[in-house]
Amino acid sequence: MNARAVHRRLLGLAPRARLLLGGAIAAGVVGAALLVVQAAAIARIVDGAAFGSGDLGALQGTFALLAAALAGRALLSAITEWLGRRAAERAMDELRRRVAAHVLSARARQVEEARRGELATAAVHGVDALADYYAKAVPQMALAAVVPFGLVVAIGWRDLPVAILLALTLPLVVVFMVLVGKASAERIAERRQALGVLGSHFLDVVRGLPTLRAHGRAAAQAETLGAIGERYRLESVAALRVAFLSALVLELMAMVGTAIAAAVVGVQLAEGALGFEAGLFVLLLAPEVYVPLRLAGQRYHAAEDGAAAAGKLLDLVGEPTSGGLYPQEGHRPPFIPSAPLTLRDVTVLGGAGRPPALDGVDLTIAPGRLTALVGASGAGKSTVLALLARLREPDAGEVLVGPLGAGAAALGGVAGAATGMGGAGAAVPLTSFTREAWWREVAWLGQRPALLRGPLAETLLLQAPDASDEELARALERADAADVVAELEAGVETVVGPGGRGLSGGQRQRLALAGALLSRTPLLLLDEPTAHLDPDSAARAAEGIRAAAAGRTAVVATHDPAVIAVCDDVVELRDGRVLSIARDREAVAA
Amino acid sequence: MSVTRVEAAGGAGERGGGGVSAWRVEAVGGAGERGGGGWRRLPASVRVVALGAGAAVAGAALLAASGWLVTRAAERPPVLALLAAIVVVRALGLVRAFGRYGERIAAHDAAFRQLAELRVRWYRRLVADAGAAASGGEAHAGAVRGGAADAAGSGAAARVGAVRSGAADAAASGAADAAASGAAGTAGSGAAAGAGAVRGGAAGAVRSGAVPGAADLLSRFVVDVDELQHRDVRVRWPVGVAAVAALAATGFATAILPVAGLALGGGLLVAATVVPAAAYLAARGALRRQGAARAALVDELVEAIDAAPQLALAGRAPERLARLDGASAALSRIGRRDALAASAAQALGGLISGATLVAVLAVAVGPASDGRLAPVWLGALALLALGAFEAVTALPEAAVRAVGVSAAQRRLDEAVGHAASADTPPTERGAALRRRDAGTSEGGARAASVDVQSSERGEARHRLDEATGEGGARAASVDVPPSERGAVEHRRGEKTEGGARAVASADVPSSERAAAERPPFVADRTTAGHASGVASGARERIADATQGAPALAAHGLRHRPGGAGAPVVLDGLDLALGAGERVAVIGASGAGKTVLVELLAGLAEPDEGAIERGDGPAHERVRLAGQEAHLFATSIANNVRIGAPGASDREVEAALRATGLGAWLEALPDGIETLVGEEGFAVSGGQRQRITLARCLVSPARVLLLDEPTAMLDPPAAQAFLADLDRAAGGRAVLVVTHERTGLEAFDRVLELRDGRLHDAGRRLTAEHWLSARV
Repeated sequence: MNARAVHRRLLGLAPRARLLLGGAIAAGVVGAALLVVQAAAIARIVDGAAFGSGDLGALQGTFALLAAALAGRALLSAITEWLGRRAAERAMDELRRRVAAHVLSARARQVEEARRGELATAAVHGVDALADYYAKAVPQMALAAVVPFGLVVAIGWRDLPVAILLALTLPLVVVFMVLVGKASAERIAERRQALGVLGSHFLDVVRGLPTLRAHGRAAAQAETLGAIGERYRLESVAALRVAFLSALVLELMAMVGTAIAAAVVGVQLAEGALGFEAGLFVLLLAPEVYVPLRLAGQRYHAAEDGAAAAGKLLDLVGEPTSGGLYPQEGHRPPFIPSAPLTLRDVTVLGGAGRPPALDGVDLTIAPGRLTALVGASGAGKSTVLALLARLREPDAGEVLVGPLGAGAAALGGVAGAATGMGGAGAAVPLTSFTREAWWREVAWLGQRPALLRGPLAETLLLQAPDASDEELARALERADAADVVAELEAGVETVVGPGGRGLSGGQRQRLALAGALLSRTPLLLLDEPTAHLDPDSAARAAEGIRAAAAGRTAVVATHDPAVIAVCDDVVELRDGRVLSIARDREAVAA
Repeated sequence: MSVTRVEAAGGAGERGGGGVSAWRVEAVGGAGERGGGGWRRLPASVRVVALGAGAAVAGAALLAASGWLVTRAAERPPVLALLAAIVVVRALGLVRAFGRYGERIAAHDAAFRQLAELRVRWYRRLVADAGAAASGGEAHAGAVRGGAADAAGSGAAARVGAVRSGAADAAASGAADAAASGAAGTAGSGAAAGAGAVRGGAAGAVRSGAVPGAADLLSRFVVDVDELQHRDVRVRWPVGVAAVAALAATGFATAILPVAGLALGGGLLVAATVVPAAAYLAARGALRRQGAARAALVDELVEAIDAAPQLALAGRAPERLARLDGASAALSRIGRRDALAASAAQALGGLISGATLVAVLAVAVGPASDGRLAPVWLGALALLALGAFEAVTALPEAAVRAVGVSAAQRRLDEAVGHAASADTPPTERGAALRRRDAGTSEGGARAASVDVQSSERGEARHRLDEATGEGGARAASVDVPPSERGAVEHRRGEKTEGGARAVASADVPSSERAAAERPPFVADRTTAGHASGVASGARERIADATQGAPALAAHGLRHRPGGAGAPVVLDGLDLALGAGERVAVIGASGAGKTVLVELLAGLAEPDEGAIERGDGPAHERVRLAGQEAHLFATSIANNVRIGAPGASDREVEAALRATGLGAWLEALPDGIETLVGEEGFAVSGGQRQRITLARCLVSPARVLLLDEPTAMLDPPAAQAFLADLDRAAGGRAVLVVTHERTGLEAFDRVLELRDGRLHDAGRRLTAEHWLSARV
């Protein structure tokens, strides 16, 4: 996304923010008008005192005017700042809402998952960069386009030659700024990137400190850090010498303009072509013509930083989804607990530069049975589960629910015949239901189950809020988690998660499994349910899974021989393809 | 004392490999400072303040001079009389413009320099602290947690990290059911801030999700260190510039009209104190108020990200979204109040400068009208009063920055500071000495071939290579002899056989590895090995090498990682590891497995007991591949060279091949120069472990300690890794810590760490079993 597009999207983020920005700019324009009043008042006072009648009482009104103008400017600058910050808050609030909505849509790609901490931090702390963008940069850019010309007109009112002179320098200044700015923009971007590299190198070294220590290289690395920092300093300063030229040019042009204006005014005064008061007025306003440009130049970089920070978030959340996040329309799936689930020629692409996670997979999950997905890491087990849970959609092919034709029945094996009451109608793709409707039929246990902050019961009952105490106790028993809860000081009411009671990986796993086994949905999807469990515990959990799977369609991705042993069907995956399918196994140990 | 021979083949290091890698450092000789005269030798602060104040004074003087000019012109003097003033005005304009430019360059130069220095300084403190943390314990953790919690969002950031380090987290929790020992291991071996905190967990409690993740605290650490660079550039120097400029303006005004000077000086003083103070208070209040709200929102957001699929499937997403929106709105409300405070400070600044202008004019009008003040000077005074505030208006911003800097400083001091100075462990002191050594020898030692006596200087040389010559004159081959007495012959033998020692010794079956102390069944196996007819030359070689002392021995280790009061984790532990022996240590979570390997590796000192590793620094004898061995964002080759900075490409490649990565390397776009790490090529868990292993293999160490190398691998991959490990380690002794009880058939001994001691795990393995397992 180019910079212009980011700006457009940032400004389009929240209509209310645009309104506030408009207010901030308007306040800036009024402030500039007061600047003219201020200059006129100062000129009159000095003129009156230096060359006037000596009647100071006559100046009192002018003093009052000056004070009012100054106070008004102070107030207006505060208003500009306030409205700008409000706009930033407003836009950031909107951005945060979109991030939250995006996150909760459970569509986050894996790449994002790896960076979720950064995402959360950016969403919350990014407001600082955005505050500069809205409160300082954007209003100043707008003012830079308006105020100089207004001031030149005001000057022309009293002294046309100087106004013409200044009007001539203005485009010149802009042209020079653009030229020099273009020349240096690339180098600035390069430096910025280099600084980024430097920063991430430092973080990398700090993170790798345990490794460096283990190899006796921790202390040595300090020298490398210093050497790299020094090299980047030299390169950066050389680049900045060029980059800052644009500011220098602006400053020089402004100064030369002011100096020439002073000289021209002086000569006009000396020749008597101009009154003192008018001359002083012009002289006071002349430097102000360039100030908005200078500020805009300075704050342009703040704008870039803010845009870069927000751009990342914008890229992530994409365009707002039309029609709301959770469409309520769409029909409840005529989901039949006994209908087979079929992957038909399904391909799911991997990340950039990686092979596809699933590569043209045809697979039927027999209804009412417990199916194991086995295979090495990366074979595509979790992807199959994510497809069935509709946490992902296939990039090609489709996932169907319901009985296929005769050929498909053969694929489904003996179990395919058991479609029974669900047989009404042909197989339909899962995409014909809303995800929310589908999810009501599914219980899912992911590989890294999260404990919600708060009482443990909240996590346990997430997928079955109305479960009875007996059911909960049974699910805990099945997941071999009863002893975990028994050890907790307040049982299922113990506060867990960040800030609460800590639990080990194995304990968390068993509790999360209990939550999944507690559900009564027709489809049960478990991803590595016995990971982190010792063999004895895993064996007990496997029996529990077997028991909980009775009467529902269950799919388990696993390496664990104990779990495989309790499954009816075993599907082996390798490199995103189905390697073999073993149906109707009696519980055979691997 | 060992002999290190470094042969540097000039220009041999020419390699491809694209991308920006900060690891590639070219020669930095002579600090690159341009000659320059006395000006450049001035402290940066003086230069920056002088330039900045010069520019500010020139700006104010410019206004005053043009005020004088027009007023004088209004008196209708000959035009010639104005020329001098016109020239002065233009000159001042140039001075101001170039002064500003010079100030910006000098300030940025100083900022970059400070950034580098700060990073090095805090990194060193972190290194020192990491050592101390081994005995640091709970108090430390408390400080860290407190520090993390009270600053804006840092407590939250910590939690973020706990989540972000997805892989790390999984490794820790997966490694050992109750992952206490695992987590403690990771952190204890160096993650400064998290170290103490997580180590508390090792003391018996289960690992708490509430403990800030080490990885997060580290990113916070990095951000805080970078924040410190603003102290001079954005706080102190602007204050200096403002002070000089304000004094100059006041002095000038006083010279024109004392009472006007008084008014201007008073106004400047108020503007330079009251307004920044107001801005400071507003910013500090905002930090405090928003800190909690931001932390709450980050918590909510992280949990939402973490549990998004769970929540979505349970139909709870809309409800959660409403909660998040509420948290966001709460933050916005606070933000609005803070915006008001900041705006009020801004208005205050404008009011004070305006009032000053009015006051200066008011006191000057009288004298001007009755002739006590020449009209020309009234014009100068009016414009001076307008221009004098420019430097002062930068102060509120400096005050706001000061809030951030002092918060960062406080967090850093709490996290790293106190432990650093107090008890720097001996190893680190040694390192510091060697560092100095390296510093002195840095000047010229870039010769083509250097013979360096003593391991210390060898170290220095390595470091020098790393710092200066990655690109060109990096040592092409470094032959660092092993450390054990008596093993030199052995090594030499390998060398003559075929250069790459890892490969040379890879073929030797472990049955050939006769260790000094072996349980009876091992003796059986050795016999079996004989029977299987393996080359006896190799056997003898190893027998030669391993006669005498064990490669690593520990006697009566007693250690409580949490410090005084914490439970004793190791209690009178004994261990003897023969050269070439393969030992697995199993044990329940929190049994102290990680603590044990850290002590063995010399990363921490035991409270009682002794560890024999042979002469020289511990890391020359023993290498530990920790649970979360880090892949740096650089090439695979450079990652391996962490183990031996001078290793040649051939050695690096041989080590990688020995770990079974040969086929993978060939498929990579840039071979061993392929970039890995955060932004680089994705590496699987097994590949990561193998690169980590290769790091140890290129090192001169004869004892390899691996902490949970298979925790992240599925069973087949774990088996494959252990087999490759066995092959690649060759004559080195290997101790693997694991929570898996299965798949350990290939080990000579399996020990269980229980009640602070090692027990024979009671594996009843006969020679036949063992042989069949091997085959």
